[in-house]
Amino acid sequence: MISRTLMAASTRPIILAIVSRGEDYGYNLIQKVKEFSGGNIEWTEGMIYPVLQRMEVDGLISSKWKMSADQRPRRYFRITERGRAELASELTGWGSVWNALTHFAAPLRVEK
Amino acid sequence: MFDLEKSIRAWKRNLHRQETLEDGMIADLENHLRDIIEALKNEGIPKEEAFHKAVERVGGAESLASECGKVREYRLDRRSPWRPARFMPALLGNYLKLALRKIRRQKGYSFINIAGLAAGMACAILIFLWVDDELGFDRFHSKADKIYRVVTEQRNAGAFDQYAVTPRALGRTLKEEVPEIARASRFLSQPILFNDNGLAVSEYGAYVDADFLRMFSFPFLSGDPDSALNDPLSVVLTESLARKYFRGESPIGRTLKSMGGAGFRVTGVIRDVPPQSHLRFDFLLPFRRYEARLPQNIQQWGDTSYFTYVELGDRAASRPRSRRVSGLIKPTPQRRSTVSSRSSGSISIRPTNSTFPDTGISPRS
Repeated sequence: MISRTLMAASTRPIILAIVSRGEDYGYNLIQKVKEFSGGNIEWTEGMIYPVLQRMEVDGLISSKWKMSADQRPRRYFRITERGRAELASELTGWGSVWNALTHFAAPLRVEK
Repeated sequence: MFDLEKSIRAWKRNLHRQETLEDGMIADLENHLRDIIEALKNEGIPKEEAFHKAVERVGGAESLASECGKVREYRLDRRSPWRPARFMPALLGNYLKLALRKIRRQKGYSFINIAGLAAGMACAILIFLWVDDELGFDRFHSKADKIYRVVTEQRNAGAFDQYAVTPRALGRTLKEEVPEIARASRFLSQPILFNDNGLAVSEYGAYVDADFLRMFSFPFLSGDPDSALNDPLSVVLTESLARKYFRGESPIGRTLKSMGGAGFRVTGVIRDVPPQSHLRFDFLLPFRRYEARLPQNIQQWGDTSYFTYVELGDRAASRPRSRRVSGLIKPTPQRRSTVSSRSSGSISIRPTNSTFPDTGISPRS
């Protein structure tokens, strides 16, 4: 389980990273995060929507209502140019943090 | 028997009660809830249990609502980005049309609304006009900010009283003994019976010192403000009084008779006193003439029935809101008996244009 503060800090970059690969809707975002974090990252699922809303207000993502494959209207989020720039700078930042952390905490095996 | 749709509807009703959750957000949350239930059912969990688990995973309505509230506070107008703007200039005509239709459809409420607005506006405008009028008093004098009125203050058994009346000798003494005070004038309003071709007519005027016309800027139509009241037998009339007694002829140098037989030589004509002045008079007489009629034995300091006005000179460093002046004059026994023997009495000056709005200074002692 990761700490609350780390979760709060990582939520937005993770969402940006996922939607940078293509538009997606809230439930899927959650499933993907769960799947790729090995179940260590668990959100109160409804809370993702205020975060998405805020990111939209900030201009990082945009949204559109569309019919999904199962014939239900869903809001799909896609990344904006501003979101891409934000993601790039977040990645640099997290990279530096990661380098510093693993440099001093080594040897730590990182599962790929 | 558990009804899934009914439970979801009940759950949604709870979300709708939160004002920060709008429909789009609730639709998102409902989709999410259904997705979780679907996934759990595929795992073989009964739908009632799946529903409760899903509700728990989505989160409580209050905490979701407060998170959404934080997002909405981000915009100044608290409008969600996907909602239409509240005001669109292109729809101006439609707004008017809608307003008219609503007024027509709800006559009773519209009447209450508009009548209330009208009454409120009327009150506000009246208050503004009144305050504006009150604050405009005695502003027309070019030296308005230098002219002060002298007030007597008394503390009697806890009560604090202020009177506009002052001793007869005060004005002259202040002028002589306080270097900051350049001019001073007394003001005593009194009616006089004039003799208009044998007819007694009561007119309302005032006795003032010669400095009065040098301090206050009552505009002269003829005559010289500096010297008009130098002669004890002179009189300065207002325009309308001059017209009343001399009927269009030039009054300067002519004589006006009182019923007592005394004559006044007209030395000046001023415009009528504007309504926004607290000094009211139709003619001005030299104060010396009034003093000459007083019995000799009346004490100069005990006789307190006069307004006193002073003008600060260039030697006054500031224009105070008010200032105690009784300490500035020499305390002779005679003065002390009037100025300070009355339980902690003192004399102060106040800006003349603070006379209105009512400052609680009573005109009589």
